[in-house]
Amino acid sequence: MTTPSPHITLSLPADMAWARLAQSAAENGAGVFGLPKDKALRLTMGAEELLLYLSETLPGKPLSMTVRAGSTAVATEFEFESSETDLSAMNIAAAASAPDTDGLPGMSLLLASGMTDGFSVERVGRKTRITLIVDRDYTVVEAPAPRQPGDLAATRPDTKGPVSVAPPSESSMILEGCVAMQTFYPQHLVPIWAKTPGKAVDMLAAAELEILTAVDASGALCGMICWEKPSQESIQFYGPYCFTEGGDILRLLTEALVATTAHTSAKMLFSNIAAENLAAYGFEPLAQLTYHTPDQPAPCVLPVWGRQLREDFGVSVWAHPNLVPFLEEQYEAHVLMRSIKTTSELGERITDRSVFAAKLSRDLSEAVLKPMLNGLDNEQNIQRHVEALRTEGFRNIFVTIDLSSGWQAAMAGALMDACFTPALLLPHGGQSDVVMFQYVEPTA
Amino acid sequence: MSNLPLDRLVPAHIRLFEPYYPSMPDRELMALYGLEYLHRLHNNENALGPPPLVRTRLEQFHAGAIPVYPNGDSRELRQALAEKFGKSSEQFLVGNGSCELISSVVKAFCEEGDNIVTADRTFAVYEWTASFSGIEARLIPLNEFAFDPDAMLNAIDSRTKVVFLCNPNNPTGTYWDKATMCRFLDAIGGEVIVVADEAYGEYVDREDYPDCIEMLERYPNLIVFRTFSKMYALAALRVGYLCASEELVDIVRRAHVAYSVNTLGQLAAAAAVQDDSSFVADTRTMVANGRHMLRTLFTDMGFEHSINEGNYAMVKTPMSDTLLHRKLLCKGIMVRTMTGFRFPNWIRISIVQEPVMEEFCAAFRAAFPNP
Repeated sequence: MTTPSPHITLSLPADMAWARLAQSAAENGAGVFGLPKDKALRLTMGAEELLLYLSETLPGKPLSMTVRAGSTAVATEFEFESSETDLSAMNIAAAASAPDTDGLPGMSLLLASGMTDGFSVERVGRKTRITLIVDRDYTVVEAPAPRQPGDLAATRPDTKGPVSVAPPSESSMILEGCVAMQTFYPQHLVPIWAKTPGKAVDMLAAAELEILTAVDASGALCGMICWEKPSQESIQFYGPYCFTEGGDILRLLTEALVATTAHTSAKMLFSNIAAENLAAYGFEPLAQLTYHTPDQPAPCVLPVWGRQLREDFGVSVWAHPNLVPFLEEQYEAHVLMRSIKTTSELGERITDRSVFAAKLSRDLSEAVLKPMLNGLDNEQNIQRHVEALRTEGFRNIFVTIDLSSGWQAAMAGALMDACFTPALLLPHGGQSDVVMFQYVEPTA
Repeated sequence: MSNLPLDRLVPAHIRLFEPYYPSMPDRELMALYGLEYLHRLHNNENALGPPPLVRTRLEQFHAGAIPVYPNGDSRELRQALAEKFGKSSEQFLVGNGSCELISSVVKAFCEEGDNIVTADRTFAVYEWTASFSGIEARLIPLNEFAFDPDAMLNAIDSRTKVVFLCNPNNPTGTYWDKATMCRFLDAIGGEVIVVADEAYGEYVDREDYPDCIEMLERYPNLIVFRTFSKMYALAALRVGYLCASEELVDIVRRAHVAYSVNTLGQLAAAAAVQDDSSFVADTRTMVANGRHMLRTLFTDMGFEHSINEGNYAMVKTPMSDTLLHRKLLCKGIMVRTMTGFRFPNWIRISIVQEPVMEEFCAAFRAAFPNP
């Protein structure tokens, strides 16, 4: 329940007779909500292709189309009733494998997803919502040459006098912090938005990002810690980043982070790019991810740190039988009480084609997939994604599943058959516990 | 995807408020953890209770009284309290636990734009009640684990209506002595309502501890809260009361729900007031022994701790409080994590009988094989 963002909504039938109206709404809305002309055009074309697709698959059915201003992007949402619609062309794997011809079923959907910077599909009962997103333009701040953590100490100035921790007092501090993160830490330990400080400022203004800064008596920026809320129950943090020597910056920032987030709805605080060892600050090591960095031939090991913010009295989770040994080991290691219910096929009807959302970071060679719609082709679709992503040069491929969802939990079997290994259990990482699978290259 | 216009229907101060979720029932918890017993060291209950006279009166209670509404303003209980404290029964107001009385006081005195002043690390219901009532809660940092009188005085302005003092403080156990309390009340000078919450007052056996009920004539702006849930072990029945001048009680009564205290609760509370056994002294002895055990343990392990008044103790450990909570729960011991109460990585432990405290000490030690 949040304050609604500025938006316009049309109610219209799935009929191309209304294409100009939909185009006009998307184009005008995108312009008013701040997209530059070229990006507004991409959103307009995406909306048109989506309407074309829906008019072919659900002719005449009522739709609602909303153009919505986000803090860092503008979105077009289509909402309609149907559980049968084939949305498989929204998979990035479909984009990679589609032949270069028009007129294929789903081609318009493929075009729509390809024109935009992101999409999501939600299905609740018979209601489906497809969202196309186009990001605003931000200036990229050139990153200095990557450094190794061992090289950094000598370059940090001394902290002067007592340190105070508070949210940034002005946006120029965020720019300074983003540059300092890139200066003192290797690329894979820096969040993507640090390269576009303007985006960070907008995210902060929209409460999509929170930042605490450590400032010494001379007013110098000594450190920073930042966090986002990927789900209602979890907070993902970046840092703590320390830019000066001395002053107990790490302790001050981690304690402030815990104190600030303890009064939110979040149950779990975690980081998979924590910049420092956090064992001394009450954080538990949750996993060690093997990570291929663009600038190093050998993979590095990324520790994942976390801690719960509230008392955890236990919950029930769904699990595929093949995942149960991993879960049991993890739950015992982290002293978590869980009632594991194994999933089984009940012969219920599901759609033929599955859909995965993808979050891609080419700079980090990282792809994180998330199942959006269940389908009979889960296993083949996963394999198609791996092939497409590897062809594109992605070396860190992950899939996350939420164990509150039986169909997502059931996907663990297909994932393990497709060379994915459970790498991280994140308690309360989504609606319930989340398991992150990592693709492991099969050995010859 | 609800179609309810909640953004319009729900006030912002409710939208932004994070609800409190209590723990699941003991039986479910024990089943989930495979426990044969559960030691409840998280709610500061008195494991000795209730007092003998309460037991007797409850055994005499007959089911035929259940279809009849309780007395709407707990008349007999108020008369028993009046007799005990040498006051008029009109100086007492009984509520469904102190939480209801906190709510009644905030409703009676505060309106939009007003504020209350209390500490940042104290009984959280003062802050919560103000926040979900749309009233600003000014939270003054503790000074060395104690309420800071000067900082609180500085925080008071023309829109401050109520100051909440928790004496002794939950969870730190620190208290203001008579001199500090009087200096504070004199400085306020009757301009603001001061609530002295003495929920754990019966646990304090110190000569300089102020009995605020005795100070009501001198300070007409003073309201004293007490409860039957702590020392008198009637937590399941939810009975608390306030004592103030008749004038103030008349005001608070206007914002207070009548009939909120059930017949069993009224009956048991009156019996607790009249009980003349050694129950209170026995409880104090039990707590003193427990404090000594915990102080020895935490000092021995080199952990920072806060053990003062009240039937509880706090300790800070290098492990997250939430992980330690789970480790202890696996051994049948439930403690309170304190991160959500602005004490990151501290836990609070209720002090009960010696055998259980020994079990706690063993489980606590085992959680830190290499402290």
